[in-house]
Amino acid sequence: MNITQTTQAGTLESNDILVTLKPNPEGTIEIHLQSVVLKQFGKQIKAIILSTLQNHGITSCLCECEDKGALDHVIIARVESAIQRQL
Amino acid sequence: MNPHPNHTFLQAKEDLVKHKQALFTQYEKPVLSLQANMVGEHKLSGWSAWVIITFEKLIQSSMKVVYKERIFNELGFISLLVIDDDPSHLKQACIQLEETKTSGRCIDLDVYAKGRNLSRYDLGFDERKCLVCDEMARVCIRTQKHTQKEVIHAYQQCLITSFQSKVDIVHFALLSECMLTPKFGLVTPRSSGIHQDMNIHTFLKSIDAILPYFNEVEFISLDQNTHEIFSQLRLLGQRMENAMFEATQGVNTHKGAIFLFLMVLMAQRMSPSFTSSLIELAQPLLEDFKQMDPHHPQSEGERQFHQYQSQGVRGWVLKGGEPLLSNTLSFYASQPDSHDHQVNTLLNIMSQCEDSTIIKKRGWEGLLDFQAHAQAAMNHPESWFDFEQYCLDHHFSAGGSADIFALVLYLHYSKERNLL
Repeated sequence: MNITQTTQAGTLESNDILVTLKPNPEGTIEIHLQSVVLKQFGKQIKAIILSTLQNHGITSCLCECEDKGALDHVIIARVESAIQRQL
Repeated sequence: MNPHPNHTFLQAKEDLVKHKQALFTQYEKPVLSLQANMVGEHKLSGWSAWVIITFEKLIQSSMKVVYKERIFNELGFISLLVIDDDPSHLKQACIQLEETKTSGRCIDLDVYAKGRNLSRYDLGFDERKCLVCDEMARVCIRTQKHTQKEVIHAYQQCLITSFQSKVDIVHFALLSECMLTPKFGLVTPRSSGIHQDMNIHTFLKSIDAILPYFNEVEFISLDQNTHEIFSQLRLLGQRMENAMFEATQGVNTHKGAIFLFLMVLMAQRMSPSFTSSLIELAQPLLEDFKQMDPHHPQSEGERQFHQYQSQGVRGWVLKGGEPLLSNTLSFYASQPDSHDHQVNTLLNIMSQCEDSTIIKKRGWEGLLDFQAHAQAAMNHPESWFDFEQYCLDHHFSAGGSADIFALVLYLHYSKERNLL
C-alpha cells in the first residue's frame, strides 16, 4: 500500500510522539526522526516505526516523527492511527 | 487493526492539544497546563491534586491569569491557565518553579503557544532529571530502569517532604478524599454519585474556602478550661460553615469534616497522643444530648439519638474516635499507599462506622446491610462496580465515612511527617 495523502496522529506532549505520513514520490519508505532521546534510542525507535509500517503493508511513504519520549506501545499506536486516517 | 488498549488515553491527549490550541487562538496568549507526572494507571489522586492546586496558587499569586479551567479525564487532573505573558518569559518562570520548589519535580508545567509546547532545551535548560536517580528522566522511562513501585514511592516521599504545616496535610487529606474514585454514591471527579446539587468543583471550592481557617486553631489559647476552648472552636466552626455555604451556594460539603478536623487539630495541640484530650474536649457535647427534647428533635442527629440511641459523630468524638480510628489507622499503615489500598481503607471505615447519612435513609437495618456490603467489597475490586450500584439504588452516600477517611490520612501523614 502506498501513502497517498498527508495524515497525522499523536501530539508533542510529554511521553508522546507526533507522526506525520506523507506520499513519497521516490516510492520508498523514508523515516525522519527527531527525538529528545535520539542519541540513546534513535535506531531502536526508527526500527519500531519501520516494522509497524511494514506490518500494515506500507511500501512507500515519507514518515516524519517528532518524539517526546514515547514508549514503544505508544509509538506503535500513533503510527497505526496515522495509517488508519489514510482510509 | 485492533484498537490499542489505551486508545481512549491517547485520544484524550490529542483532544487536550486541540483544546489548548483553541484557547490559544481565542485569547492569543500562552496556555499553561499543570499536570502531575505520576506514573501508573490511577492518575486521579490526592497526590496529584495537591501538587497541582499548590502550584495553581503559586502561579495565580504571581502571574496574570485570564482564564482558568480544571479537567478530569483519562489523563488525570489537568489545570489549564491562560496567562497574559510572553511565552518564553512564562516558560522560564515555570522552569524556575520546577527547579526551586521541593515538589517541583512532581509536576509538569507546560507552556503552549503557536502550535507547540515550548521546550526546556530551546531555552537553554537541561532536560528534567529522574525522581529516583540523577539520570535524564526520559532515559529512565524508556529503559524502565526503576520499578513502578520504586517511582511511586519516590514521588510520594518528595511530596510528603514538601508538606510544610499541619494545614498542608489537612489540605492533602481533604483532596485525597475528594479525588478517590470509585466512592460508592459519593461525589468523585468522574461522577456526582447520588447527588444532583454538587460535583467535584463544588468540593474543591469548598476546600479552598475552609482551608485558611484551620490555621486559626493555633491561635486558640491553651490557658483556659476545655469548655472555653470548645466554645471558641464552635465559633470558628460556625465561621467556616458560613464560608463553606458561601462558596458552595448553600450546599453542605464539609460540615462533618470541619467538625472532626477542628476537634482533632485542637486535641493534638493539647496533647500529641490526642485521644484523651479529644474526649476531654468533647465533654461539652454531652450538654447537647441533655438539652434535646425527645418529642421535638431539632435535627436529624437528634432524631436518630432518640430513635436508635445513636449519638452520631458527637458520640464518636466523645469516645475519642475509638475503636474505629485505631483499627483504620493500622489498616492503612499496613501497606504502602496505592489507589486500591485507599479504596479498601474507605470500605474498612464504611463497614464499621455508624454513618448517620445511611441511618437517615434506611434506618438501623439499612445501616447493618450497608456495612455488610462494604465489608464484602473490601479487598475485592471486582465487586466495586456492584457496590457502587447498590449505593446508587439505595440512595446511599456515606459522607460520615468519607470524613473519617480524610481524618485517617491526615493522622497517618502528620505522624510520618512528624508535624504533630
